[in-house]
Amino acid sequence: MNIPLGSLDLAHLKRLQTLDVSFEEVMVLNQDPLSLYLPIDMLTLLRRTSAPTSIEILRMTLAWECITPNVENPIFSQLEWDILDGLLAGPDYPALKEVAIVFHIGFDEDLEFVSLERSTEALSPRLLTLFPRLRRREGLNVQISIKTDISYSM
Amino acid sequence: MAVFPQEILDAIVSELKDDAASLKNCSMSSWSLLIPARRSTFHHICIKQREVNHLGEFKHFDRDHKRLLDLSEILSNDPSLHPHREGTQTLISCIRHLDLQLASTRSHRSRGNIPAIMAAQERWHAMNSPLPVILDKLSPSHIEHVTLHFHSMLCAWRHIDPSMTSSILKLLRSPSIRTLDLSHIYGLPTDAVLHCPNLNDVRVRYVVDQGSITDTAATKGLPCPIQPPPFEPSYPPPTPKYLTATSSSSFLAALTKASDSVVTFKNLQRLSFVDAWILPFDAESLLVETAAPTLRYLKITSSLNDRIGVQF
Repeated sequence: MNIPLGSLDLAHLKRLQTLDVSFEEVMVLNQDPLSLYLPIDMLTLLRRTSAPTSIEILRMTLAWECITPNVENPIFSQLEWDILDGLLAGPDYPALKEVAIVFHIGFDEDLEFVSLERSTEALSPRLLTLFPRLRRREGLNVQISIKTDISYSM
Repeated sequence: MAVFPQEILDAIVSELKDDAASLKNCSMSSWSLLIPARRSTFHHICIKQREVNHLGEFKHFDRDHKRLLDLSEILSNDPSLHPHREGTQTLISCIRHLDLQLASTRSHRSRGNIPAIMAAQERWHAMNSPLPVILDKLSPSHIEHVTLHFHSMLCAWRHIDPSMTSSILKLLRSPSIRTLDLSHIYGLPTDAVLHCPNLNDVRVRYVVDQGSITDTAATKGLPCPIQPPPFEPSYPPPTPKYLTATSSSSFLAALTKASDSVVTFKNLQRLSFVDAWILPFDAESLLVETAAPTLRYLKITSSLNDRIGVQF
Protein backbone atom coordinates (compact mmCIF):
# COMPACT_ATOMS: atom_id res chain seq x y z
CA MET A 1 0.00 0.00 0.00
CA ASN A 2 1.38 3.40 -0.90
CA ILE A 3 0.33 5.18 2.20
CA PRO A 4 2.34 8.35 2.66
CA LEU A 5 5.01 6.70 4.69
CA GLY A 6 7.36 9.63 4.40
CA SER A 7 5.31 11.61 6.85
CA LEU A 8 3.71 8.91 8.95
CA ASP A 9 5.63 8.22 12.13
CA LEU A 10 3.94 5.75 14.47
CA ALA A 11 5.68 7.31 17.44
CA HIS A 12 3.65 10.47 16.86
CA LEU A 13 0.47 8.55 17.62
CA LYS A 14 1.02 8.65 21.32
CA ARG A 15 -2.27 6.99 22.32
CA LEU A 16 -2.41 4.41 19.58
CA GLN A 17 -3.35 1.08 21.12
CA THR A 18 -4.35 -1.00 18.11
CA LEU A 19 -2.80 -1.12 14.66
CA ASP A 20 -4.58 -3.31 12.14
CA VAL A 21 -2.91 -3.70 8.76
CA SER A 22 -4.32 -5.88 6.01
CA PHE A 23 -2.84 -6.59 2.63
CA GLU A 24 -5.45 -8.62 0.87
CA GLU A 25 -4.77 -10.40 -2.40
CA VAL A 26 -1.93 -8.10 -3.16
CA MET A 27 0.92 -10.50 -3.66
CA VAL A 28 1.19 -13.10 -6.37
CA LEU A 29 3.17 -16.19 -5.58
CA ASN A 30 4.90 -18.33 -8.14
CA GLN A 31 8.21 -20.09 -8.34
CA ASP A 32 10.03 -17.18 -9.91
CA PRO A 33 11.80 -15.30 -7.11
CA LEU A 34 12.00 -12.14 -9.19
CA SER A 35 8.25 -11.93 -9.39
CA LEU A 36 7.83 -12.30 -5.67
CA TYR A 37 6.20 -9.28 -4.17
CA LEU A 38 7.12 -8.42 -0.65
CA PRO A 39 5.17 -6.57 2.00
CA ILE A 40 7.73 -3.80 1.82
CA ASP A 41 5.37 -1.01 2.73
CA MET A 42 4.22 -2.81 5.82
CA LEU A 43 7.79 -3.19 7.03
CA THR A 44 8.53 0.44 6.22
CA LEU A 45 5.49 1.55 8.15
CA LEU A 46 6.54 -0.44 11.22
CA ARG A 47 10.20 0.57 10.93
CA ARG A 48 9.61 4.28 10.52
CA THR A 49 9.25 5.22 14.14
CA SER A 50 11.36 7.90 15.72
CA ALA A 51 10.69 6.70 19.27
CA PRO A 52 9.12 3.73 21.08
CA THR A 53 5.47 3.35 20.15
CA SER A 54 2.47 2.85 22.42
CA ILE A 55 0.94 0.05 20.34
CA GLU A 56 -0.45 -2.79 22.47
CA ILE A 57 -2.25 -4.83 19.85
CA LEU A 58 -0.92 -5.47 16.37
CA ARG A 59 -3.03 -7.35 13.85
CA MET A 60 -1.73 -8.18 10.42
CA THR A 61 -3.36 -10.03 7.57
CA LEU A 62 -1.16 -10.91 4.65
CA ALA A 63 -2.84 -12.45 1.67
CA TRP A 64 -1.38 -14.01 -1.41
CA GLU A 65 -2.90 -15.21 -4.58
CA CYS A 66 -1.01 -18.38 -5.34
CA ILE A 67 -0.46 -19.71 -8.84
CA THR A 68 1.79 -22.59 -7.86
CA PRO A 69 0.81 -25.61 -5.79
CA ASN A 70 4.06 -25.43 -3.85
CA VAL A 71 3.96 -22.26 -1.82
CA GLU A 72 6.26 -23.24 0.99
CA ASN A 73 9.54 -22.01 -0.38
CA PRO A 74 8.41 -18.71 -1.87
CA ILE A 75 6.77 -17.65 1.37
CA PHE A 76 9.10 -18.92 4.02
CA SER A 77 12.42 -18.29 2.34
CA GLN A 78 12.01 -14.55 2.65
CA LEU A 79 14.34 -12.70 4.95
CA GLU A 80 11.66 -10.19 5.80
CA TRP A 81 10.13 -12.37 8.50
CA ASP A 82 13.36 -12.24 10.43
CA ILE A 83 13.47 -8.47 10.07
CA LEU A 84 9.87 -8.23 11.25
CA ASP A 85 10.60 -10.57 14.16
CA GLY A 86 13.52 -8.43 15.31
CA LEU A 87 11.57 -5.24 14.88
CA LEU A 88 8.54 -6.29 16.91
CA ALA A 89 10.63 -7.92 19.63
CA GLY A 90 12.85 -4.87 19.83
CA PRO A 91 12.75 -1.59 21.76
CA ASP A 92 10.41 0.23 19.37
CA TYR A 93 7.42 -1.83 20.48
CA PRO A 94 7.73 -2.07 24.27
CA ALA A 95 3.98 -1.97 25.00
CA LEU A 96 2.98 -4.89 22.78
CA LYS A 97 0.67 -7.36 24.49
CA GLU A 98 -0.82 -9.14 21.52
CA VAL A 99 0.38 -9.88 18.00
CA ALA A 100 -1.94 -11.69 15.61
CA ILE A 101 -0.71 -12.51 12.12
CA VAL A 102 -2.85 -14.30 9.57
CA PHE A 103 -1.33 -15.77 6.43
CA HIS A 104 -4.09 -16.09 3.90
CA ILE A 105 -3.28 -18.07 0.78
CA GLY A 106 -5.82 -18.14 -2.01
CA PHE A 107 -4.97 -20.73 -4.64
CA ASP A 108 -5.77 -19.73 -8.19
CA GLU A 109 -8.90 -21.42 -9.50
CA ASP A 110 -6.74 -23.45 -11.91
CA LEU A 111 -5.31 -25.14 -8.82
CA GLU A 112 -8.61 -26.53 -7.67
CA PHE A 113 -6.97 -29.93 -7.38
CA VAL A 114 -4.84 -28.71 -4.47
CA SER A 115 -5.91 -30.16 -1.13
CA LEU A 116 -6.44 -27.18 1.12
CA GLU A 117 -6.32 -29.32 4.21
CA ARG A 118 -3.01 -30.89 3.20
CA SER A 119 -1.53 -27.54 2.27
CA THR A 120 -2.49 -26.05 5.61
CA GLU A 121 -1.03 -29.06 7.43
CA ALA A 122 2.19 -28.81 5.46
CA LEU A 123 2.60 -25.10 6.09
CA SER A 124 1.60 -24.98 9.73
CA PRO A 125 4.85 -26.43 11.19
CA ARG A 126 6.81 -23.77 9.35
CA LEU A 127 4.76 -21.09 11.05
CA LEU A 128 6.14 -22.22 14.38
CA THR A 129 9.65 -21.49 13.19
CA LEU A 130 8.83 -17.92 12.28
CA PHE A 131 9.24 -15.09 14.78
CA PRO A 132 11.40 -16.91 17.35
CA ARG A 133 12.31 -13.75 19.27
CA LEU A 134 8.72 -12.61 19.41
CA ARG A 135 7.67 -15.98 20.83
CA ARG A 136 10.32 -15.80 23.53
CA ARG A 137 9.19 -12.40 24.74
CA GLU A 138 7.45 -12.62 28.09
CA GLY A 139 3.91 -11.40 28.54
CA LEU A 140 3.26 -11.31 24.82
CA ASN A 141 0.41 -13.26 23.29
CA VAL A 142 1.49 -14.30 19.79
CA GLN A 143 -1.03 -15.89 17.45
CA ILE A 144 0.09 -16.89 13.99
CA SER A 145 -2.36 -18.72 11.80
CA ILE A 146 -2.79 -19.78 8.23
CA LYS A 147 -5.89 -19.86 6.10
CA THR A 148 -6.16 -21.44 2.66
CA ASP A 149 -8.89 -21.32 0.07
CA ILE A 150 -9.50 -21.29 -3.65
CA SER A 151 -9.86 -17.80 -5.06
CA TYR A 152 -12.20 -17.61 -7.99
CA SER A 153 -11.90 -14.66 -10.31
CA MET A 154 -15.02 -12.64 -10.93
CA MET B 1 -52.57 -4.42 31.13
CA ALA B 2 -51.95 -1.76 33.75
CA VAL B 3 -50.52 -4.38 36.14
CA PHE B 4 -47.23 -4.22 34.21
CA PRO B 5 -44.99 -1.19 34.48
CA GLN B 6 -44.64 0.66 31.16
CA GLU B 7 -40.91 -0.16 31.03
CA ILE B 8 -41.73 -3.89 30.96
CA LEU B 9 -44.27 -3.37 28.18
CA ASP B 10 -41.74 -1.30 26.24
CA ALA B 11 -39.15 -4.06 26.55
CA ILE B 12 -41.62 -6.74 25.41
CA VAL B 13 -42.78 -4.76 22.39
CA SER B 14 -39.23 -3.83 21.43
CA GLU B 15 -38.55 -7.55 20.95
CA LEU B 16 -41.06 -7.45 18.10
CA LYS B 17 -39.13 -4.82 16.17
CA ASP B 18 -38.77 -7.02 13.08
CA ASP B 19 -42.34 -8.25 13.09
CA ALA B 20 -44.42 -5.57 11.38
CA ALA B 21 -47.71 -7.49 11.63
CA SER B 22 -47.38 -7.97 15.40
CA LEU B 23 -46.41 -4.33 15.88
CA LYS B 24 -49.52 -3.34 13.96
CA ASN B 25 -51.65 -5.54 16.22
CA CYS B 26 -50.01 -4.05 19.32
CA SER B 27 -50.75 -0.56 18.01
CA MET B 28 -54.44 -1.32 17.88
CA SER B 29 -54.75 -3.20 21.15
CA SER B 30 -54.04 -0.57 23.81
CA TRP B 31 -52.53 2.83 24.47
CA SER B 32 -49.82 1.22 26.56
CA LEU B 33 -48.66 -0.85 23.62
CA LEU B 34 -49.23 1.76 20.95
CA ILE B 35 -46.41 4.01 22.10
CA PRO B 36 -43.61 1.42 22.07
CA ALA B 37 -45.06 -0.18 18.92
CA ARG B 38 -44.96 3.13 17.10
CA ARG B 39 -41.40 3.67 18.29
CA SER B 40 -40.33 0.33 16.83
CA THR B 41 -42.35 0.65 13.63
CA PHE B 42 -40.90 3.98 12.65
CA HIS B 43 -37.45 3.59 14.19
CA HIS B 44 -35.85 2.84 10.82
CA ILE B 45 -37.25 4.31 7.61
CA CYS B 46 -35.84 3.32 4.24
CA ILE B 47 -36.73 5.32 1.15
CA LYS B 48 -35.52 3.58 -1.95
CA GLN B 49 -35.71 4.98 -5.45
CA ARG B 50 -35.53 2.55 -8.31
CA GLU B 51 -32.66 2.58 -10.74
CA VAL B 52 -33.84 2.95 -14.32
CA ASN B 53 -32.22 0.57 -16.73
CA HIS B 54 -34.81 0.43 -19.47
CA LEU B 55 -38.07 2.05 -20.37
CA GLY B 56 -40.18 -0.75 -18.91
CA GLU B 57 -39.00 0.15 -15.43
CA PHE B 58 -40.63 3.56 -15.53
CA LYS B 59 -43.99 1.91 -14.89
CA HIS B 60 -42.86 1.35 -11.28
CA PHE B 61 -42.36 5.04 -10.79
CA ASP B 62 -46.06 5.81 -10.56
CA ARG B 63 -46.43 3.30 -7.74
CA ASP B 64 -43.34 4.61 -5.95
CA HIS B 65 -44.61 8.14 -6.38
CA LYS B 66 -47.92 7.24 -4.76
CA ARG B 67 -46.15 5.57 -1.83
CA LEU B 68 -44.07 8.68 -1.26
CA LEU B 69 -47.22 10.80 -1.36
CA ASP B 70 -48.77 8.48 1.25
CA LEU B 71 -45.70 8.85 3.46
CA SER B 72 -45.78 12.60 3.01
CA GLU B 73 -49.43 12.67 4.04
CA ILE B 74 -48.82 10.47 7.09
CA LEU B 75 -45.99 12.74 8.20
CA SER B 76 -48.14 15.82 7.61
CA ASN B 77 -51.05 14.53 9.62
CA ASP B 78 -48.80 12.85 12.17
CA PRO B 79 -51.76 11.32 13.98
CA SER B 80 -51.57 12.57 17.49
CA LEU B 81 -51.70 10.19 20.37
CA HIS B 82 -53.47 12.00 23.12
CA PRO B 83 -51.36 15.15 22.92
CA HIS B 84 -51.86 15.69 26.62
CA ARG B 85 -50.96 12.17 27.61
CA GLU B 86 -47.55 11.94 29.18
CA GLY B 87 -44.93 10.11 27.18
CA THR B 88 -46.72 10.22 23.86
CA GLN B 89 -44.51 10.86 20.89
CA THR B 90 -45.12 12.30 17.48
CA LEU B 91 -44.51 9.96 14.61
CA ILE B 92 -41.57 11.97 13.28
CA SER B 93 -39.90 11.94 16.66
CA CYS B 94 -39.88 8.11 16.57
CA ILE B 95 -37.61 8.02 13.51
CA ARG B 96 -34.01 7.38 14.51
CA HIS B 97 -32.48 5.93 11.36
CA LEU B 98 -33.15 7.31 7.89
CA ASP B 99 -31.89 5.26 4.98
CA LEU B 100 -31.99 7.06 1.63
CA GLN B 101 -31.15 4.95 -1.40
CA LEU B 102 -31.45 7.25 -4.36
CA ALA B 103 -31.14 7.07 -8.12
CA SER B 104 -29.95 10.02 -10.11
CA THR B 105 -32.36 10.67 -12.95
CA ARG B 106 -29.66 11.91 -15.27
CA SER B 107 -26.52 10.28 -14.09
CA HIS B 108 -25.80 7.87 -16.92
CA ARG B 109 -24.27 9.20 -20.07
CA SER B 110 -24.96 5.99 -21.94
CA ARG B 111 -28.61 6.17 -21.07
CA GLY B 112 -28.71 9.88 -21.68
CA ASN B 113 -28.02 9.22 -25.32
CA ILE B 114 -31.33 7.44 -25.73
CA PRO B 115 -34.03 10.06 -26.41
CA ALA B 116 -36.91 7.88 -25.23
CA ILE B 117 -35.32 7.29 -21.87
CA MET B 118 -34.33 10.93 -21.62
CA ALA B 119 -37.94 11.93 -22.27
CA ALA B 120 -39.23 9.46 -19.71
CA GLN B 121 -36.68 10.68 -17.18
CA GLU B 122 -37.78 14.25 -17.76
CA ARG B 123 -41.39 13.18 -17.26
CA TRP B 124 -40.42 11.55 -13.99
CA HIS B 125 -38.55 14.69 -13.10
CA ALA B 126 -41.61 16.78 -13.86
CA MET B 127 -43.75 14.68 -11.56
CA ASN B 128 -42.48 16.84 -8.77
CA SER B 129 -41.30 14.18 -6.39
CA PRO B 130 -42.57 14.63 -2.85
CA LEU B 131 -39.23 13.43 -1.47
CA PRO B 132 -37.78 16.92 -0.85
CA VAL B 133 -40.95 17.83 1.02
CA ILE B 134 -40.64 14.66 3.11
CA LEU B 135 -37.02 15.45 3.91
CA ASP B 136 -37.96 18.98 4.88
CA LYS B 137 -40.56 17.59 7.27
CA LEU B 138 -37.94 15.37 8.84
CA SER B 139 -35.56 18.20 9.64
CA PRO B 140 -35.09 19.11 12.36
CA SER B 141 -35.95 15.80 13.91
CA HIS B 142 -34.62 13.14 16.27
CA ILE B 143 -32.84 11.21 13.54
CA GLU B 144 -29.50 9.92 14.78
CA HIS B 145 -28.28 7.86 11.85
CA VAL B 146 -28.49 8.90 8.18
CA THR B 147 -27.46 6.65 5.31
CA LEU B 148 -27.20 8.26 1.90
CA HIS B 149 -26.48 5.81 -0.86
CA PHE B 150 -26.75 6.18 -4.62
CA HIS B 151 -27.41 3.20 -6.82
CA SER B 152 -25.14 4.38 -9.59
CA MET B 153 -21.52 3.46 -9.11
CA LEU B 154 -20.64 7.11 -8.96
CA CYS B 155 -23.64 9.39 -9.02
CA ALA B 156 -22.99 13.02 -9.90
CA TRP B 157 -24.37 15.24 -7.17
CA ARG B 158 -25.01 18.02 -9.67
CA HIS B 159 -27.32 15.77 -11.67
CA ILE B 160 -29.66 15.39 -8.76
CA ASP B 161 -32.63 17.68 -8.63
CA PRO B 162 -31.57 20.90 -6.84
CA SER B 163 -34.60 20.83 -4.55
CA MET B 164 -33.54 17.34 -3.46
CA THR B 165 -29.90 18.26 -2.79
CA SER B 166 -30.99 21.35 -0.92
CA SER B 167 -33.32 19.27 1.28
CA ILE B 168 -30.63 16.67 1.89
CA LEU B 169 -28.11 19.32 2.97
CA LYS B 170 -30.73 20.93 5.18
CA LEU B 171 -31.50 17.57 6.79
CA LEU B 172 -27.81 16.95 7.41
CA ARG B 173 -27.60 20.08 9.53
CA SER B 174 -29.78 18.46 12.14
CA PRO B 175 -28.11 18.50 15.59
CA SER B 176 -29.49 15.05 16.41
CA ILE B 177 -27.45 13.26 13.73
CA ARG B 178 -24.64 11.18 15.21
CA THR B 179 -23.78 8.80 12.39
CA LEU B 180 -23.47 9.65 8.73
CA ASP B 181 -22.94 6.97 6.11
CA LEU B 182 -22.31 8.31 2.59
CA SER B 183 -21.58 6.17 -0.42
CA HIS B 184 -21.13 6.36 -4.20
CA ILE B 185 -21.47 10.12 -4.61
CA TYR B 186 -19.50 12.09 -7.17
CA GLY B 187 -19.11 15.76 -6.36
CA LEU B 188 -20.45 15.85 -2.82
CA PRO B 189 -19.95 19.26 -1.20
CA THR B 190 -18.10 19.16 2.09
CA ASP B 191 -21.06 21.01 3.62
CA ALA B 192 -22.73 17.63 3.88
CA VAL B 193 -20.36 16.72 6.70
CA LEU B 194 -19.08 19.98 8.08
CA HIS B 195 -22.47 21.36 9.06
CA CYS B 196 -23.61 18.28 10.91
CA PRO B 197 -22.80 19.67 14.36
CA ASN B 198 -22.88 16.62 16.63
CA LEU B 199 -21.46 14.08 14.27
CA ASN B 200 -19.72 11.21 16.02
CA ASP B 201 -19.20 8.60 13.33
CA VAL B 202 -18.50 9.33 9.65
CA ARG B 203 -18.36 6.64 6.98
CA VAL B 204 -17.55 7.56 3.39
CA ARG B 205 -17.29 5.04 0.56
CA TYR B 206 -16.44 6.02 -3.00
CA VAL B 207 -17.17 9.68 -2.38
CA VAL B 208 -15.49 12.25 -4.61
CA ASP B 209 -15.50 15.90 -3.64
CA GLN B 210 -16.92 18.76 -5.65
CA GLY B 211 -13.57 20.51 -6.04
CA SER B 212 -12.15 17.56 -7.95
CA ILE B 213 -14.84 17.91 -10.57
CA THR B 214 -14.22 21.63 -10.91
CA ASP B 215 -10.48 21.03 -11.25
CA THR B 216 -11.00 18.32 -13.84
CA ALA B 217 -13.41 20.49 -15.81
CA ALA B 218 -11.01 23.43 -15.74
CA THR B 219 -8.13 21.24 -16.91
CA LYS B 220 -10.13 19.97 -19.85
CA GLY B 221 -11.55 23.39 -20.71
CA LEU B 222 -15.07 22.28 -19.81
CA PRO B 223 -17.60 24.52 -18.12
CA CYS B 224 -17.34 24.21 -14.36
CA PRO B 225 -20.33 22.95 -12.45
CA ILE B 226 -22.28 25.58 -10.59
CA GLN B 227 -21.19 25.71 -6.99
CA PRO B 228 -24.08 26.19 -4.59
CA PRO B 229 -23.60 29.01 -2.11
CA PRO B 230 -21.98 27.74 1.08
CA PHE B 231 -24.06 27.50 4.20
CA GLU B 232 -23.31 29.98 6.88
CA PRO B 233 -22.10 27.82 9.74
CA SER B 234 -24.47 28.06 12.65
CA TYR B 235 -22.53 25.65 14.86
CA PRO B 236 -18.88 24.93 15.42
CA PRO B 237 -17.58 22.21 13.06
CA PRO B 238 -18.23 18.63 14.16
CA THR B 239 -15.55 16.67 15.99
CA PRO B 240 -16.29 13.03 15.17
CA LYS B 241 -14.66 10.18 17.07
CA TYR B 242 -14.84 7.58 14.32
CA LEU B 243 -14.00 7.84 10.63
CA THR B 244 -14.06 5.06 8.05
CA ALA B 245 -13.03 5.95 4.50
CA THR B 246 -13.13 3.68 1.50
CA SER B 247 -11.57 5.04 -1.68
CA SER B 248 -12.48 8.62 -0.86
CA SER B 249 -9.12 10.36 -0.78
CA SER B 250 -10.21 13.46 -2.65
CA PHE B 251 -13.17 13.97 -0.34
CA LEU B 252 -10.93 13.60 2.71
CA ALA B 253 -8.54 16.12 1.19
CA ALA B 254 -11.40 18.55 0.60
CA LEU B 255 -12.62 18.05 4.16
CA THR B 256 -9.24 18.84 5.62
CA LYS B 257 -8.91 21.91 3.36
CA ALA B 258 -12.44 23.22 3.80
CA SER B 259 -12.47 22.97 7.55
CA ASP B 260 -10.16 23.81 10.31
CA SER B 261 -8.94 20.24 10.30
CA VAL B 262 -7.25 20.64 13.67
CA VAL B 263 -10.68 21.32 15.15
CA THR B 264 -12.63 18.82 13.10
CA PHE B 265 -10.36 15.86 13.75
CA LYS B 266 -9.11 16.74 17.22
CA ASN B 267 -11.21 14.03 18.88
CA LEU B 268 -10.73 11.27 16.35
CA GLN B 269 -10.11 7.99 18.16
CA ARG B 270 -10.74 5.35 15.53
CA LEU B 271 -9.65 5.70 11.93
CA SER B 272 -10.00 3.12 9.16
CA PHE B 273 -8.78 3.39 5.60
CA VAL B 274 -10.13 0.75 3.28
CA ASP B 275 -8.79 0.43 -0.26
CA ALA B 276 -7.04 3.75 0.05
CA TRP B 277 -5.59 3.43 -3.42
CA ILE B 278 -6.76 6.56 -5.18
CA LEU B 279 -3.93 9.06 -5.32
CA PRO B 280 -2.96 11.33 -3.71
CA PHE B 281 -2.48 9.90 -0.27
CA ASP B 282 -1.68 13.23 1.33
CA ALA B 283 -5.19 13.45 2.75
CA GLU B 284 -4.82 10.23 4.73
CA SER B 285 -1.41 11.32 5.95
CA LEU B 286 -2.64 14.71 7.06
CA LEU B 287 -5.60 13.13 8.78
CA VAL B 288 -3.44 10.72 10.75
CA GLU B 289 -1.06 13.48 11.76
CA THR B 290 -3.93 15.75 12.77
CA ALA B 291 -5.58 13.06 14.82
CA ALA B 292 -2.29 11.85 16.29
CA PRO B 293 -2.85 13.10 19.86
CA THR B 294 -6.15 11.23 20.27
CA LEU B 295 -5.99 8.28 17.88
CA ARG B 296 -6.34 4.89 19.59
CA TYR B 297 -7.10 2.62 16.66
CA LEU B 298 -5.72 2.73 13.13
CA LYS B 299 -6.70 0.29 10.42
CA ILE B 300 -5.24 0.24 6.92
CA THR B 301 -6.52 -2.21 4.34
CA SER B 302 -5.25 -2.58 0.83
CA SER B 303 -6.49 -5.03 -1.72
CA LEU B 304 -4.83 -4.04 -4.95
CA ASN B 305 -1.74 -5.69 -6.31
CA ASP B 306 -0.31 -2.78 -8.26
CA ARG B 307 0.60 -0.81 -5.16
CA ILE B 308 3.24 -3.15 -3.84
CA GLY B 309 6.17 -3.87 -6.04
CA VAL B 310 8.99 -1.98 -4.47
CA GLN B 311 11.88 -4.15 -3.41
CA PHE B 312 14.66 -3.47 -0.96
